[in-house]
Amino acid sequence: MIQAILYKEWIKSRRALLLATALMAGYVAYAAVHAGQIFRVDGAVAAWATLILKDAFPLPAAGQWLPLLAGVLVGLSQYVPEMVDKRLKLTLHLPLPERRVLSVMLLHGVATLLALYAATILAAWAILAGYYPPELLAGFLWRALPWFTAGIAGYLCTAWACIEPAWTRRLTNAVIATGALSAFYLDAPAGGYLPMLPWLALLTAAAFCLPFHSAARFKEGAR
Amino acid sequence: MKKLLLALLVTALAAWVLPALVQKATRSPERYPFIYYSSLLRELCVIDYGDDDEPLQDLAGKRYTTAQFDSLLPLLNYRQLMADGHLPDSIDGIAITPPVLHAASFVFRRYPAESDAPPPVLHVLFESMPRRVGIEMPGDVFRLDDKIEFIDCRDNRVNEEKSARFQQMLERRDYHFPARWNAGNPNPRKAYDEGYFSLDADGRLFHIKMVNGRPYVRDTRASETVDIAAFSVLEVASKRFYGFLFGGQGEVYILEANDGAYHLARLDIAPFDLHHDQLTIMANLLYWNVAVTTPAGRVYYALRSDDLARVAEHRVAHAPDTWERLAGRLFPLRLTLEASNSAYIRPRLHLALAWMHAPLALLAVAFAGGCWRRLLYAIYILIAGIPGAIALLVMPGIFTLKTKKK
Repeated sequence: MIQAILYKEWIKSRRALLLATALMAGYVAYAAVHAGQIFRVDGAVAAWATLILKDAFPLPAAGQWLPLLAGVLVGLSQYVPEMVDKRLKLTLHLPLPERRVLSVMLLHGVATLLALYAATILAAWAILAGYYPPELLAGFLWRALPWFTAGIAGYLCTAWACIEPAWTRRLTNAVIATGALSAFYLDAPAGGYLPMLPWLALLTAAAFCLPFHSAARFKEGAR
Repeated sequence: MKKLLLALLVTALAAWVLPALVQKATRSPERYPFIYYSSLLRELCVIDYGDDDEPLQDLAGKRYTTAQFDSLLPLLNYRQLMADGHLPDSIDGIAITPPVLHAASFVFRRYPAESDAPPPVLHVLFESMPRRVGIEMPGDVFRLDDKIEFIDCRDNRVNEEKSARFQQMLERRDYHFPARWNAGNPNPRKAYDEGYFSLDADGRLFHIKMVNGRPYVRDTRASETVDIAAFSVLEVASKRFYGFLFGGQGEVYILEANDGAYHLARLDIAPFDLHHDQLTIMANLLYWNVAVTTPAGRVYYALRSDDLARVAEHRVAHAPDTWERLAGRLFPLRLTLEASNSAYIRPRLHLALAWMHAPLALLAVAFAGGCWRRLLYAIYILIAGIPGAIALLVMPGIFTLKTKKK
């Protein structure tokens, strides 16, 4: 049964995952071209000096939103179809405990996103390792980790908002989620987010419980 | 349980966002006067650059015109006096010329956030005696923790030969790894470079620089007299000292260059808190104007340049702005993620005794459902204030033990 649910989730989310993978791959490819161009045009010394003296991030800033975009896309692809014609009602009536059904659905999304993020980080690391020393790479990673965590939290919040049956509460959920996600995008130097990362992980873990609340309201028939 | 979790999440979010919005709407920047020591009046004077007619005022309240201002503060306004042809030949019997005044002048600032920030992991070591005028970026950077290694920027590989030279010199000077911290001034816009001051594993402060491509390592022996907390390198035009050394008891010293030896000279100011206070020094040939901004206000000192002894002092108390007056009353519980005295993002909880939201708690008592729920709502609002009330509005029924089925 669980395999069947996973297959159903894969069928629903594969296009969104493909799009998210294409976006991430495109960004990594651009990162490679961008790093090469900076070293060619400005020279290695200037490129390193900018990063060390100005604590700059070597890639275009727009990339910080990609993990969140991927999370929201995957979330929408999984849970919007469930809410059309209240198909979630059928899903929750499968011969499995409701919590397990929803957990499998959520874990499918979280696991695929984690795999996508891990592949993106590894690919970017492998490319940039040719240009920068490990200390700078670690700095980039510390800076980017909150953005990837925001992707997972964004996915869970999307599920929370989508499964919610009442439109007013759905909007409230979206506003709360937007506010909470802004905590992942504060301006900080490389390593400045380190003390916050455990709290962001805790927030993301707490966000895993939120869709269950919406599902309970859905089952109650709240409007 | 899920409702309670959600209510806590909304409370935390509201306790972060609402105070931040109110702060943005009510916060006004702290405006302390610009105070400078007049070598002629021999007292601290207040300068208001916005007043075109009488920009100078002494602490007794007497005001001075712009022309008097220029003449009474010749060490501050020497460029203007020079342009007007009014620069005196000497002050206090000391001959002054623009190059002498320029060489003795510097500005130094140390912010509390510098003491609570991710430490730099890679450093740039300039040639301290460049053959050409000006500092040039070297082709490598170095890491100094368990050992010293120079990494070539061009091929991203360790320069083994240069690393070995510096490593051997550090070991010969009895530097004990790993390094606790390294302080330098990697800004290339300066006349010369004094390299880095590194605290070794035993708490000894070493001076490391590169002279004609060779390593220069010396134990400053500053740790024999001071418990060293931090160091700020500053290359001044006069080359009188290497930078500012901060002691664990709040002492502030300069580490002077003394014929190849190192000498500590203490600034005659009250203990300085690295984590909360801001230090600003505007120095001239005869006096150092020191301003220490603490949470309680700003203290201005005038120190004699030669022995750093205090000749004048003035305090301006901190005047709380609208935000500071409101914060404690409006928000018994407030969450911030950023702080002016830290570069780190982390949750910081601010608690205050505030009773302005007691009516909200009474409303909860009046309109909430059962007896227990009324009590719990009132307690929650009394603890969390407006953010708590918002959470209860968004998440009604969080304290019900069972979900009612329709």
